[in-house]
Amino acid sequence: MIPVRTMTILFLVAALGYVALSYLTFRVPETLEEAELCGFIEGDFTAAGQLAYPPVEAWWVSFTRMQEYWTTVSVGLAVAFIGFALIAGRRAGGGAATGAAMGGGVLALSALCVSCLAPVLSVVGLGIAGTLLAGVPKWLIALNTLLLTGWGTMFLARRLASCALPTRTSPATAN
Amino acid sequence: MTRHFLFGVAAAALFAATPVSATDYSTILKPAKPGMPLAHPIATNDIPPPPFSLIKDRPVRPAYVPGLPGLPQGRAVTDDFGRKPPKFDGVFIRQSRVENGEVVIPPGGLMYHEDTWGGEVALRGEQVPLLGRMATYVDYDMSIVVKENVTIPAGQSVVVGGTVYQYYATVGHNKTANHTLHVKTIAGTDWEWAFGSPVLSMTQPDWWGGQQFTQLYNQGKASEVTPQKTVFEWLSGVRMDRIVLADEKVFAGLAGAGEEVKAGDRSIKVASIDEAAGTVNIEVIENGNAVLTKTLGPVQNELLIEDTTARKALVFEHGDTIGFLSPWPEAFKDGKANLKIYAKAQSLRFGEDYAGDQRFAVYPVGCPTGHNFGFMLVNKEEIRLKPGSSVDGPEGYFKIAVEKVEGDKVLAWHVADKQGNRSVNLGGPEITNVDLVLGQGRVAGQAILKDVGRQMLARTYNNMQANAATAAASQTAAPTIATAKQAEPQPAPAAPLSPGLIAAFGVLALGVGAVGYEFGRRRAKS
Repeated sequence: MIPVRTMTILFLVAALGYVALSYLTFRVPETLEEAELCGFIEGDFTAAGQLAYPPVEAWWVSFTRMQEYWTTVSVGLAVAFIGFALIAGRRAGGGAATGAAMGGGVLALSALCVSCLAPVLSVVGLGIAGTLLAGVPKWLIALNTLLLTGWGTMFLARRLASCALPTRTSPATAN
Repeated sequence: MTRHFLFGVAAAALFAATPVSATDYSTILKPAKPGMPLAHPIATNDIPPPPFSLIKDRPVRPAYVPGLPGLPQGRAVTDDFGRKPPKFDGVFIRQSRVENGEVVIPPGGLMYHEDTWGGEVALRGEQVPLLGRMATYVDYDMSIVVKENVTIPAGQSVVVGGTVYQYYATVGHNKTANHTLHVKTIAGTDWEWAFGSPVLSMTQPDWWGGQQFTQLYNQGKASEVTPQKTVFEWLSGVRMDRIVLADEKVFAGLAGAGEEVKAGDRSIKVASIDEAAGTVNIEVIENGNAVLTKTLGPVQNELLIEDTTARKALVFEHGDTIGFLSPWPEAFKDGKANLKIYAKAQSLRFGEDYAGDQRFAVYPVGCPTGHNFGFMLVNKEEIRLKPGSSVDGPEGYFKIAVEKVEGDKVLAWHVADKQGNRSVNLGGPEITNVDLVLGQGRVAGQAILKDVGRQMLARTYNNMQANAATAAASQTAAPTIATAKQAEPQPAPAAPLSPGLIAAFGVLALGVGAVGYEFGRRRAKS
């Protein structure tokens, strides 16, 4: 049984959380070089050398031009899957579910490594992953995440269904 | 001496030679709105502009170099209020030629241009690159030059102060016509992007402003406008007479009465503060004696920063010390005055020698609103370059080197920065000068393209083709002789499949297989 509602909520929370994090960590670029990394072009600057957009619009322009919506989808899918895997793991007692949860985490990180949060990750030594994935389009990462989390979800659901495990009961209801 | 004389004559010839009028143009020129004073005084003297300021003297089939590591482009600098305007190094060579096996660059032909994308504004602590180091732009003197009886033949240009007017186009409509002027600086900055272009007409009175135009303090009144020429009764243009750049900031903050600030061998003392009147009295003290006393303020917010009187009321200057009462965020707080004081200040004066390298004359470039648009350094004397020789730019900031000349062709030459980074070979079998446009600023990357961009592109392509043909021929003729290494166009590399991309497609295949497997199992069970 796939907990669709729980996974949907997790997806939405993670996706919105990523969008919020992206907004909070966004810094209006100060040089043309910085601006190019964030998806801006020379024409986005005023004659006075300042970005022509107010901060919120500047973030949105960068977000859409950098196709961060794909990263949002990837992170949402990965977190939703991690949630499901943890639920399954609690019921199944580990093994495949724990591995699946870790796999979901890796997927989420791989999406983040090529996102606009990547520079932050380099602080904790994850910049190299971003380098490896630099040539991979974000839509492909999102598609892979969808396939792998879809497969993982179906796999865990099958395992749960084939070896029905007793649901955990509290001491109060055990009597 | 002769070369100096020629330099002066050439410069003077550019300048419309009518004397400054006795008419009081401060009552004729229009301010921005009724009651507002003119921001800049009317000039009382003529100063010749740099040679080759006219449009006809633009570089001829110039080589283009986008920049070099030591001649940076789009470098963001700072000011005290968070603005970060990009700055650009520009190098231009005009009217060069080959003569008796030597390359000749006439006086004024070599120009370094500190260019900026936005106007440089005084009193804001803006950093301005000065041949590789940073100085603070503190204050300036700008004036309005007015010339009388100025004729501009169609297609040609004249210089008024630091402003260049070109009679650019005539467009007919029935039996009527309109006539467009292009307004530029002596450096080539085209004000079209900021202020549009004035259009005059004697025959379309309801479409245009008639025979008079106003572009801030660039203004004019024509007596005759025909497809052949425009004759102005009077024509005004701004001239940036001086900018002050300081190397060292010695104080910025609140100073109370009695406090003293050291600036080299001098000290600046806050003698008294009258916050109610909005004034502070300062004394500049040398060897225990007050050599300058001045009352700074009150702040006239409505007229800052460009109005000369309002700005000068806040500024004091003595020797290489300069400072001002800063109005931002507030001029006074808790009984103290908000002062900014700088040492090691130098003035760059229009048409005078550049102190750092006397081979060059300096020309600050002004925007009619009262902002600075960089400065030019131009060679005062003729430069002659034999093959194998080079000439240093101001303070050795860059170098122009000629390697090979044959007949009237410059087969090999380059520009290099101070660190020795060289451009590609800019010469070739069809190149007859060393005219150059280097940079990406308002002039090199924008305005001048309107004048010589087409030539420049054609020259670049043709020269690449000619050099490639020459290289191929020399290889065929003498395959054992190594040819000079040149940058040649490389075919665009095909987009490589990176290891990451290969892995991602592998994962995609794996995922499709895995999902297919799961669907297959479920279908088999059902």
